[in-house]
Amino acid sequence: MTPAELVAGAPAEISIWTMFWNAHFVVKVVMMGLIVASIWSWAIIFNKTLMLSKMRRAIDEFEEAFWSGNSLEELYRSLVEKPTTGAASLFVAAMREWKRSFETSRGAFMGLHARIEKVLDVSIAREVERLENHLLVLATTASAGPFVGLFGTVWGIMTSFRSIAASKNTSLAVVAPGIAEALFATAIGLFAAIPALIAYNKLSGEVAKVQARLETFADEFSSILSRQIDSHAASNRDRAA
Amino acid sequence: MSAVAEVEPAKRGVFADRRVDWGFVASALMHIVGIAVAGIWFSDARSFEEAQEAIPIEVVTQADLNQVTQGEKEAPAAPSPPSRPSARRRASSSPKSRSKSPRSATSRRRPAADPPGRAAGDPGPHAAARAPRVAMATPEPPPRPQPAPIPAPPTPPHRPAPSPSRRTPRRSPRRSRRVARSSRRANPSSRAARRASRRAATTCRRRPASARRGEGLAQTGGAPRGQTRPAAKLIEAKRAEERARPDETQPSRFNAADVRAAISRERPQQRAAAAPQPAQTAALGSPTARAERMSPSMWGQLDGYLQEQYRGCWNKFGFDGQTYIPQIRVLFNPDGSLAAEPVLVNAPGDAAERSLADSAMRAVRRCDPIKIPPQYAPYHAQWKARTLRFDPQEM
Repeated sequence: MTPAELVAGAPAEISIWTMFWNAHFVVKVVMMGLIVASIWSWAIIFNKTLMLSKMRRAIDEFEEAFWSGNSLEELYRSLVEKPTTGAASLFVAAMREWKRSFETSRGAFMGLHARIEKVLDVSIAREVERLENHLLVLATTASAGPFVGLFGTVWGIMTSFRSIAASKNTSLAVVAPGIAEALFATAIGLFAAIPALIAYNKLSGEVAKVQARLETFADEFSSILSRQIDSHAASNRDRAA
Repeated sequence: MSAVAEVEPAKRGVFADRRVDWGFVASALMHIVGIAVAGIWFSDARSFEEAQEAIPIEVVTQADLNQVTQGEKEAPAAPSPPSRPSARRRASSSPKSRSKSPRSATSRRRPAADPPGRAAGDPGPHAAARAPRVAMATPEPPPRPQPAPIPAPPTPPHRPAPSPSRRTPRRSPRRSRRVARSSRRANPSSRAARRASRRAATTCRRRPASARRGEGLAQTGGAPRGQTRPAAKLIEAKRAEERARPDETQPSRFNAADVRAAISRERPQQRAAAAPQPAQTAALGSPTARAERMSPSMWGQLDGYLQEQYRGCWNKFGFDGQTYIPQIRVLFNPDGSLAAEPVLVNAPGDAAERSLADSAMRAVRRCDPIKIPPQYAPYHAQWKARTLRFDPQEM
């Protein structure tokens, strides 16, 4: 959308450039905004698709490691140094809470399970929030894009009708360019909105799937931890007795 | 402890931001490419093809139809199709004769000096027999023009009659006809014709092909051409020319419909044009030609007009309640007078019916010069034969 490009495309009579260039200022602004929205939504689509595929791969890898039978302490030590995503971050957060409880106060078993549950919930919420970060932009683009484009179209048609009234010439050749320019705004709006809508539906579905996976893992892990807590409590009671 | 927990989301945020940058770059690149492609593809809107405006059928009036047959002045002159298959065969056998060089003119003359040989070589014996008959037909006066009150416009077949063909010397009528036709097309042919005319012993007045086909063939006998002496022929042709001259000076009253009717009445065996002829395009129609067709409303008006007049002439008193309706076939002249005796089509059964029929016949005779409105004059060919119904209830 640089001016150089605009000039380069200019010579054709009814090209896209001339349509853009001859449009009213408001329509131009609408078009530019819609193109920016389109660029942004496509950036989000790319990023989210990549992020989700990475997240799924990470969860797969982590679950494989988790259910391989190695000790959880080792797994925690291998994961705690580097930033983690997905189920690994859940695991790291829960293990941190567990270790903290064990290392600081020896007898703080009473609320440990509840705390771990909370930590897991928070981690899930954080992960999901990270996944859903910009999806609302897609939703907004999808719903508002056609309206914005329609606004540009209405404005452009209004302008062209005003120029008809001014020139007192109603031949189609006079009316057509203005209306084409105006409709161009709606075209751009739809161009931005349709991929955004499709991608929003698709990505939110993916995010929901990942969230379900994380919650399943959190439930399993919390049940494992609660078993550990109970066995620890029993051994402590035995030792005390 | 809590500091560590706080650091991690921040780290993740930075990570995510870098990803957003990458996606943004990819998206921007994609849009730029897409816009460039769109700019190339939609650089010029394809203009609509000029749509031929369709005329709704209801809108085509009789006048429009007439206009259609009028032809165009600027249209290229379509060569008239060969009127006989034999002529066409000869033209195709000697294509050089189309180039109007003197040499080709001589080559064309050569077979004329030896007509029997050519006739013998002619595959169609019928065509060979036709040649002398056509030759005899030539001095015939032009077809008796229908004395139309309004001088009909000159029709295309009549125009090619003039000088170059008159100068054509003794030669096979078919060839001279072709020369006449070709002289219409190109100048050099007239030179060839002039060359030939120096040696001309006779001239033969040429009439339009269709007219000759129409009447000449039907009227002439089969005397061979070789028997006519050149001098006699010359005199005869002069006379024919003089007879034909007033026909050219005054506006022609030639009626194309008459000729067409005469042609169609001819038996197909007598017409040599058995081979399919190329379709005549409507290019270069006569600027004043009209399709001589009466519209249904004109028919209705004419019928009402005739009925009105015959009602005045008909004394039908006492004939009410008859089931017999006399039908009388009438032939009109263009001025409305009877061209022939009226003929009762359906014979009466009894005396009452006979008297009714007689009264109808009397009415026809009494109204003899019936007044035909002048706007029907050009359509005389269509209304000249009418079958009148003398229905006592209707009239």
